[in-house]
Order: sequence, then C-alpha cells, then structure tokens
Amino acid sequence: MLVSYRLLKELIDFSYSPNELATKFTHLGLEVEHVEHVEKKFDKVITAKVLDVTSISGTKLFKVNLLVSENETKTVITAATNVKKEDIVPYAMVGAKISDGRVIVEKYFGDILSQGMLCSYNELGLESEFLSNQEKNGILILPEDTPLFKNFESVFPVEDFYLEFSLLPDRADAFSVLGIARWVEIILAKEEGRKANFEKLQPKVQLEENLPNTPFEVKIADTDCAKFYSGRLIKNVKIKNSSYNLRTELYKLGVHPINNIVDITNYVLKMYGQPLHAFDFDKLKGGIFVRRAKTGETIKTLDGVERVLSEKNLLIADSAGAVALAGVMGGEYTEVTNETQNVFLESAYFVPSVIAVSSRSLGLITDASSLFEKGVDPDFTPHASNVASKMILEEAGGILFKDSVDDLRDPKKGVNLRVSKAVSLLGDEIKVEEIKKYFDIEGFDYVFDEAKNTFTVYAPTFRQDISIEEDLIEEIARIKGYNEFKETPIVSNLKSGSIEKIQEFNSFLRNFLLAYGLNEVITSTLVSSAMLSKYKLFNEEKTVKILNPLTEDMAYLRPSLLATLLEVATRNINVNIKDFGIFEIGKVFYRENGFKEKFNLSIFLIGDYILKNPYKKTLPYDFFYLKGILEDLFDELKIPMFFEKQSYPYLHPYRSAVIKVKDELIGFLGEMHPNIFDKAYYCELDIEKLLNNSSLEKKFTQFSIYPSVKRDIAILVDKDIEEIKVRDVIRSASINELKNIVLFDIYEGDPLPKDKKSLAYSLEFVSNERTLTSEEVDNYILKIEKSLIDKVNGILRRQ
Amino acid sequence: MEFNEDIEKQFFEKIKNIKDLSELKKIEIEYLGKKGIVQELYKKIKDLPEEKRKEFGEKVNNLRNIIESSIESTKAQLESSLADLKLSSEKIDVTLPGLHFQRGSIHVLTKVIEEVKSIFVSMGFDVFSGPDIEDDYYNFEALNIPEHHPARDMQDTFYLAQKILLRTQTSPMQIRIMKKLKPPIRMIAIGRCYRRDALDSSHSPQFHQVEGLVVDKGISFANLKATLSEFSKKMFGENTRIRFTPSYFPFVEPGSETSISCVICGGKGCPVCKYTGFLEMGGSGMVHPNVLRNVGIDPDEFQGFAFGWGIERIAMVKYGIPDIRYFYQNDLRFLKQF
Ligand SMILES: [Zn+2]
Repeated sequence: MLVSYRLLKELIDFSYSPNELATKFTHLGLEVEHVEHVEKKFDKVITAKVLDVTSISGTKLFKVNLLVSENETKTVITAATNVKKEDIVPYAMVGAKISDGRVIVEKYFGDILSQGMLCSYNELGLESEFLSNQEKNGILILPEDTPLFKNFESVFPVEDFYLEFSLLPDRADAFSVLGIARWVEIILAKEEGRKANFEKLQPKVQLEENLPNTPFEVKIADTDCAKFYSGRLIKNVKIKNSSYNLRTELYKLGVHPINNIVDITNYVLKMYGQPLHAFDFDKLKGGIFVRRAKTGETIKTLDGVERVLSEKNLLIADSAGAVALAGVMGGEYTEVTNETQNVFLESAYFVPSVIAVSSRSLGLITDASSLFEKGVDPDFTPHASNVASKMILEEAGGILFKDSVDDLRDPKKGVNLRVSKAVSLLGDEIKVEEIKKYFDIEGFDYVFDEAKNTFTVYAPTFRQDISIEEDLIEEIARIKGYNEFKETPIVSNLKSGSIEKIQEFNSFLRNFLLAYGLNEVITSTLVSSAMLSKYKLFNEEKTVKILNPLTEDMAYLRPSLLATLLEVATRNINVNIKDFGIFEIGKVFYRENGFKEKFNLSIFLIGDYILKNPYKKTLPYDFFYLKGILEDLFDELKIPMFFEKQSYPYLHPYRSAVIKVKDELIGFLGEMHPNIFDKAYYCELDIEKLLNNSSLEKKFTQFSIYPSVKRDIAILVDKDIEEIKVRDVIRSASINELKNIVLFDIYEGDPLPKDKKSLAYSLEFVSNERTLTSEEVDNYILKIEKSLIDKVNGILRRQ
Repeated sequence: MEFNEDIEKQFFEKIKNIKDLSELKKIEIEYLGKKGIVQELYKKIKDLPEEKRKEFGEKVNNLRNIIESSIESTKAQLESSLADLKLSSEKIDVTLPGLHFQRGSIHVLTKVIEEVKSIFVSMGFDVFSGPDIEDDYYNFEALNIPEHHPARDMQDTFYLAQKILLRTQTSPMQIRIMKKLKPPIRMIAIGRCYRRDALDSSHSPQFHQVEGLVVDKGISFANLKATLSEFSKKMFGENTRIRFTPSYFPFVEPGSETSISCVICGGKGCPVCKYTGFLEMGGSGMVHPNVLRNVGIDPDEFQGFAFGWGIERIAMVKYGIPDIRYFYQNDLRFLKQF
C-alpha cells in the first residue's frame, strides 16, 4: 500500500521526515519497505485553456490556439487527437523543460510557428497508474474547474514522498490513510506522554436534520453475516467527471478517476477504509435484503462475468434477485452509469470471515473484499455514508434522503488482561502504571480492578485485532518496544538434545561419501514431466502431480533423483568441468495408497578421479569404482547384499545391476546408457531400507597373533561363468583358516583356449592357534581345487 | 730395511689423496698385508740385538696401530661420501606440485543445517525434520489459520489434492511434536518448504527452514529473545545483535519479525542491509493460546515460544552469497568453496 506523505501531513501535524517516519512505523510493526521520492521533472509548465482546434490540411497535425494568460494567446501544433475546445491542458511554454530533459523551442510547421507544447502525463514524468486511460493516451486534460494560468506544480500535487507499506492481515485498521494517520497520532502520543486522540482525525460532517426517509426497506436477513446496513437515496444526481478538488485528492490517493459517484466511493475506501457501493436506484425493486446466496443462483458482476453462486456467497438482493455480491463486487445491471439519475448508496459492515469465504470461493479478491475480510471499523460505517453523501451533493448535486438502516452491531466488549499473565508471558517485570500508560498511548479505554490485579480494556472499534488477553500483551510490548525487554535464558531441568535417526544416518552417509572425494549436491524436488519422460521415469499413475504448479517445469514431484542429478552434471560439463563425482541425499515422492515420500541416495561419476599429473597414470571412474564404494558402504553397515544383472532404460543394458538384500531390492547401479552420457556411472539406493537393514554398532573382534600365509592361485574356468560363483566355490570349501580371498587378475586369450578364462586369486590363511605350516596350506589348496573341479569345472593352473 | 720415521710420513702422504675404496685396499695390502711393510719390519726383529728387540717391537706395534686406525677412518669417510653420492643422485624437486585425488565437499546448505543443529542440540533441543507432503490441518488449520483466512495469502500454496499440500513452512512440525510429546518440549525441525513464488535472486519456490518450539511452564518472551540471541551469536559471531519488531503470524501472539545486525556493516548501514543496519531472518513469537488448545495443552498452565528462520537466508548472510539460485544450481565452482 502506498501512502502519500503530503496527504498524511495534511491530515495530522508532525515534523518527522519521510525516512524518520518510516523507521518509526517499522518499529511499531507497520513495515515500510521503501520510501519513494517523486520529484518534479519539469519547469515552466502552466495551465492553459484551449480556444480552438483546427486540423491542418494534408497532415495529421492540429493547430491549437491557447489562452495562456488573461490576455495572451499562443499557437501550438500537436499530433494529439484528444484535445478540444474549452479543455484545460498543461502548456509547456518556449524555454520550458520537460521530464526527459528536452527544452521547448519555437518551431515552424510549414508556415505556422508553434510556440510551445501541450504535455501528456509522460512528458511531465507523472506516475501513469494514477491517471485515467484517456489521460494516458494523449494530452493530459485537466478538470474543467482547474485554476488557469498557474504553474502546473502549484495546481497538481506533483512533488511528494510515497511510503510503501507492507502490512500484514491483522493490521485491518491501517489499510487507509486515516488508519496510518492514527498510528502517527500514537507515535506523537508516545512522544508527548499523553492519550491518543483519534477524534480530531475523523472527517467532520453534519447532515441536515429532517431529511426525507429513503422509501426503501433494508433488512439483514442472515444476521450472522452482516452487522450493519445503511442504504440511502440521493435523487437527481448529475454523473460527470469529478471536480478539480476531488481529482487532486484522488491523485494523492493513487485512484483512477472514473466519474464523480464512483470516485467518491473510491475516495472513502482509500481515505477512510470503508468500502461503499452505489446502485442505480431506479433499477432496484422493492427493498434490499442481505442474505446468503442459494446454490446455483447467478449474478453478472460489473466486470461482466456471469457467476454461479453457492451458500458460501453473501448477496445484496432486491425483491427480484441478486443485485450485488456483498462486500466483493456490484452487479452489472444496477451499476451507476452516465444515465443514472438516482443513486442508492450502501454503507455496511459485513462479518469478515463471511466475506473471506465468499470472495475466495469465487477467486475474486477486490479492494472492498480485502478490507471487509480483515474487518472495517463498525463505528465508522454509518458515518461513512454521511461523508460520502455530503461529497455527492457537492460533486453531483441532488436531493439527499435519510438512510434506511438495519443495525445489529454488538455492544463494545471488554477484553481482560491479568497483569500476572503479562509479566509471565513477557518474562519481565512490568508495573500497572506502565501498562496504563501504554494503553493510553494507543487510545484504549480501560478499567483496572485493583483486587484482581486485572484490566478490562475497551479498544477502539477499528482495532479488530484486539480480542484476547495475548493481543493486549502484544500491545504492551509494541508500545514499550520489543527490544526494551530483557533476555533471560531458559531455566529448566538439564537435558541433552537428540537428533532423529534418519538425520543421523544421512549425516553418516554424507561423511562416508565425502571420504571418496564426492561432492554433495541439493537439487529441486519439483520437476517437469518432459524431464522425467526423457529418462522414462514418468508414470501417470505413480508420479505425484501438483494441481496448481507455478510453471510446467515444476509441475511434478520427482520420483527419482536421476533427472535432477543429470541436470547438475550437464550444467557442470557445459562449463567444462568434466571430471567429478557427485551425490545427493534427498526425498523422492510417489503415489501408492496416497502420497508417499522417502529418502534416496544417488551417486553420479564421470571422468577421472586421478587427474592428469606428472607422476602416475590418470585413473578414470568406472563401473567397478562405483561398485567398490557401494561394497565398502554395505560392508561398513554390515548389510549382506548381492548384485544381479538387470537392465534399466537409462543404463547401459549390459553394464547394470540391481542390488538386493535377501529378496528385497535396495537399489541399482550401472554405466549410463551411452545415448545419455558417455562413460558415466550412476547408482540410486533406498535410504530407509539401508537404514533398516544396517547396523552401525562396533565391537572388538579378536584377531590372530600368528602371521598369515598367502598363496596365489590361478583357476581356468569357462569364459561365461560369473566370477562370484568361483569365489563362492572357494568359500564353500569351508576352510576356517581362509580369511581373505582377493581376485587380482583376469586373463583371456593366448595361450588359453578360446572359451576359457583364468582367474587369479590371492588367498590368505591364518590360524588363531598356531603358525600354519606349508604342508597344511598345501592341503587347503588341494581341498579348494577339488571343490573347483567338482562345482565349476575349474582347473588349477600350475606353473 | 731400517725402521725410520719416513715410513709413517710416506703412509700419510699416500692416504691423503685416496679417492676410492679400491685404492685404499691397495694401500692396506702394501702396509698391512702378509708381505706388507709392517710384516717386513716384524721380520727384522729377529736380526736385531737382544736389547734392541723390545724397543723396536713396540715401535712397529705403534706404527701398525696408527696405520690400522687411519685406514679404518679413511674407509668410513669414503663409505659415507659414497652413500651421499648415491642419495644425491635421487634428488627430487620439492617444489613440484603434490599428487591429488579428487576431494569431496558437503553442500553449503547441509553445512549450515549441521551447524544450526549442533548449536541447538548444545542448548538441549531435540532435532526433527517431518514430511514435505502435509495435511492442510497441520500446515494451516491447527496453526490458527482456518480456510479462507487472509493470512493464507501470505503463503501461496502448492496443492496435491484436496487438503493435501506441500508444506509452506516447518511450523506444522510444532503441531506434530506437541501431539506426540508432552511438555517440557524443546525442539527444532529442519526441512524443505514450498511456496508458489517465482524464482528470482531472493525467492525460490523451494527453500529450507528451521523451526523452533519450546513449551513449558513459564516460558516467556524474554526466553525467546535470549535463545535467538544466543543462537545468532554462535552462528554469526559474538558481536551480533538481534532485533525484534512487531509482526503478525496467526500462530503466535505476540508475534515478531526477527533481524540480526548486518554482518557486513555491523549495523551502520550499507547496500546489503538497504541502509537499515539489520537483516531480516524470520518470524518468532509466543505460541498462540488457540494453537496450544488445538493440541490439548492448557495455555494457563503452559506457555511457549516458536520461531521459523530460513536456512538459505542464514547461509546467504553468513557466507555472503548474493543469489539464492546458486544453492540449487550446484555448480562445482560454487560447491567447492564451502
Ligand atoms: Zn549493512
């Protein structure tokens, strides 16, 4: 919300600079995000009257004769088409400067001398949002009662500061200039040590007594939806543009001018925070009823949309049906138009939650609804009708009637505050006298019960944020200043903090992978279907879709870490970083009897892990490097797992495997499919399964005090046999002393038969009881050899 | 051959210029060998008169000792200089670069999260995370934000289904924990949150938050201030000051926006803090009595405070990271800096 500093100063006398004021507001909880200084960017521009306009034949130009002072005329050539006789316009005289820095000079068009320029809003450097469309598109046409021959800046409030407030929904009282001015009064009251006086800020309007009654019944039918309704007839009004005076005020409020009646309702809304609505009285039939809509009832609102309603919506209805969406938007049929002669002016207090539900159920949030849903000042509502009525008489003439009213407002209720609760909640000593002072500063009325040490507080009706004890405690803190309270550490039984298991486990995994030189990444959980489809990860039934995505590329929750990890890889490769290992520990999502989420771990490797150097060979990441990490990890977690050949759409069909624990799938790994990435390696594991199967418990195991004996053996087996089977056979010889089996060579080719390969193992034997003799080890080897012959048709190669 | 002083002189003359072990060996044989000079002298003893034999014998013994020890020490000298010669041939250039394996890194957000955790654990807080997919009840309803409440506009929400959404804040963990545990409660919850905000340098539709909640008898605003003040000092340095300004979050009352003194200018005002001297970190306040009632805690018996700060915000302030997008881009040149 933007508030004009100039307007505030007109309303209340204070001496703070715009920036000082902004700081004070922020400390009170009315955050000023920004102070904008609007400067005058022109010079020597005056208001002048158009005498006549003639088109110059053969061109698209017009010759305009202007009255620029009581007895002086000037001629100006313009291309603008919106200027006509009698218009009052800003005229930049010869020698004038306009906002883009240009200086106006005399200039001939054919044989006509142009002595200056007519200005548009743009050329004056004015904010376009404050102007009507008509004005934006051409020369700025000023109201017909604008004072003539004056410097433009003296008739139009050009130079100003605008405070940009970022107000929160509980500050219902501050969404108007009056509301902000009341907080200036609180600032002043605090400074001067007195009670705030909001009375002086209220517009003073006294309507004539003995007005004729509005010949129309108004009735709040659903009494839980509205607490006050006033409807008033104003006959024989003249709908036209607003006067110069009102236009000037609208400009300061940032309101687009439309016509005098609409402008007045907008003025009251922005200035005093009370939304009003004006109907064309002649289109209303039989009376006004405030009631809930019936399901299926329709109304065409004045934005031209035909809306189907439900019981969530509150209506202003006449005897024929809906005429307005109460508190949200008027109906098109009863709208005030240029032909309107008789106006019916509504000022009402609707119950905030009712308007919130009504406007949100239609997705229609307007200036009016956003004020009503926060809560307008019910004490001001009747008065707002008077204020607007008086302005209508001034701007549009007419005959005023006394309003018809249905008043269901509750009497003011007090809120209790126990001093002890304030002390306890704030954790600081605070005296009764001090509390009284703060309540005075905010203009609250109160009664203090000495015996009970309790206040009963009556906040002004515009303070709809005060409804419970804690609200009052917040006010004490607000006025005293949040930073004036002491800091006291928590006093409690000593206890240590703990971290939930999954987080501890994730930290373990991170540190484990860090030791392998991998880099942790954190990627988006929001992905596009295109991105998932690219890797065949998209599954209409299982992928979690966001119903209201911000953009299509963030419309789904990722079912796997693959896509976003590959995106990170691509990003880095594109900036010529080509050797790296990255991993992510993050959530994936899927649908399976509802929405599910779980943590996965993914690793991606590409390029070399030992880079080009003068000492050794470079060493590239490969399938077995990745597998080695996983084997180490499972070993550390004491999880017995195995790998089985398995293909995945995004992996190399002959270089990928599934990882299983017993019969449970726990993850997979493989070389990326060469169509996606060349020589890159990926794995993804289910962290919860990992955690559930793991044991990080450590316990000392006795090791032998005797030296071990190592023997290397080479075994000739069929080429197609999986190596794991050979190892299993060696293990199956059940030799307790065999502590370690290390495969150190695989050989195929000459002089071996074509269908054979040789596997070389280093076997380590150790006994807990004695040093093993060479004969004993020979016997073990024989035993192993027998198993190999029997089970895999293996032959021990002897040199 | 006469025994004379010249033998010794000659020997020292010869051994002085010895360069290698083989030359030394020759000299050793020449003097100490079976047919060497010393042996020849011994042979002469028998030709000498009785009374001179003893004196002559002692002289030869003496000479032999001198020669032996001299050869011994020369040998040692030669050997050591030879060894040095061999080692010097193995000389390396110690200024050459070392051999590097790829070194890993932990994401800066994780680092910040770990640091936040460890500070709060040291203050006795338990650490939770909670689900990203939340129920409307936990994310809004139980937090005193009923449907259609204007405060919902402050957090534009992603929905997955009717009443099922991506959490817009970690605050639902307040409800989950209070439903599970009885006071005294002292916890933080850290996790990813989502809002329908367009991505720019300071907004991201996904971000991380740390939520804090303390509920016990007599927990006060003064406790909240002390806790966040202590946390800020540990996180950003001993000189950090904390500022509270009134604000509105429906689940706390009184509610507060919390800022820390600008880490760049120390509070004097600079472009980073937009000349305010302070950097906004997040919301905080005293748990609203309605929230306590919603989880069956009597607000007249127990009081609590809560806060929610942005992890990305903490990281940006602590490490001077100018743009929130860096966190999710994962450029290795970024990752490896932390
Ligand atoms: Zn600063």
